[in-house]
Amino acid sequence: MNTMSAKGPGESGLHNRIAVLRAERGISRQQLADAMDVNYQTIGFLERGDYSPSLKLALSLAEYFALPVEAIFSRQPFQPLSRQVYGSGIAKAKQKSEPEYEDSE
Amino acid sequence: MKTEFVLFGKHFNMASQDRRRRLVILIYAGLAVLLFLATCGYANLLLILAFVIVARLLGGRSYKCGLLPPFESGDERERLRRNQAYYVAYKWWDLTLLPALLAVGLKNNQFYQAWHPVLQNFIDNLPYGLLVASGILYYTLPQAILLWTEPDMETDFSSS
Repeated sequence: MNTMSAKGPGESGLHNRIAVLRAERGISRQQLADAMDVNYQTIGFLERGDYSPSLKLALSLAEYFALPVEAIFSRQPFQPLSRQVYGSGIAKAKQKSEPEYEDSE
Repeated sequence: MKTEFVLFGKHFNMASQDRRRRLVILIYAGLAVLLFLATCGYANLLLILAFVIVARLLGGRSYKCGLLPPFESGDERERLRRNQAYYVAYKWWDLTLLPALLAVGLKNNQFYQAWHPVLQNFIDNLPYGLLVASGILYYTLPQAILLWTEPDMETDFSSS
């Protein structure tokens, strides 16, 4: 599983996609922290799932990334984005690319 | 929380939890020695001076210097951690007053007169020393708990 897409839950019990969203948009922790008006260390704690944000901060993050809050935080582990986008096609392609070994005996 | 502090022009990296814990141990060991000396009738001024330095070094409260930002400021996680530290620090703090009360009782016993004058002097000053210890704990314990419990901090804040 892509660890960038399924951070956490750490101590908070919440999974989140902050790190992957930040990497995707080329935003540093400091930039995100400035936008959210929090310490950059708090962004690190959030990404590692060691801190549950307040509703206000969670909604601010959702607003910042222009995504619904459930796309950023979840109580269940996130599926890798590639699997979500391409669905089971990846699994089928993987099956095709793997050679089938026949029993020689 | 700051990840480093400057003392006499030297920069000390305090991002690591291990280092912060060693600092807390060093501070309380130093204060305990000075407190013992003060109880014996020496180093009273030194204790006050050391306490002022420690209070400034730890920060918190309303100081702008020190490892911890003023407790009035900080983001939501820092305020949450501060509140937890206060709760833990003061949950049992009143018990630290008990030794001082018991020390008063030491003076009022039948064996007091038989003790060595040096010991009598120590016993006379013991309630004072223990009350000062309670005061020091009252003032520094929340900060010490924060320094002790905060995990390793990231120093490279520009990393994406």
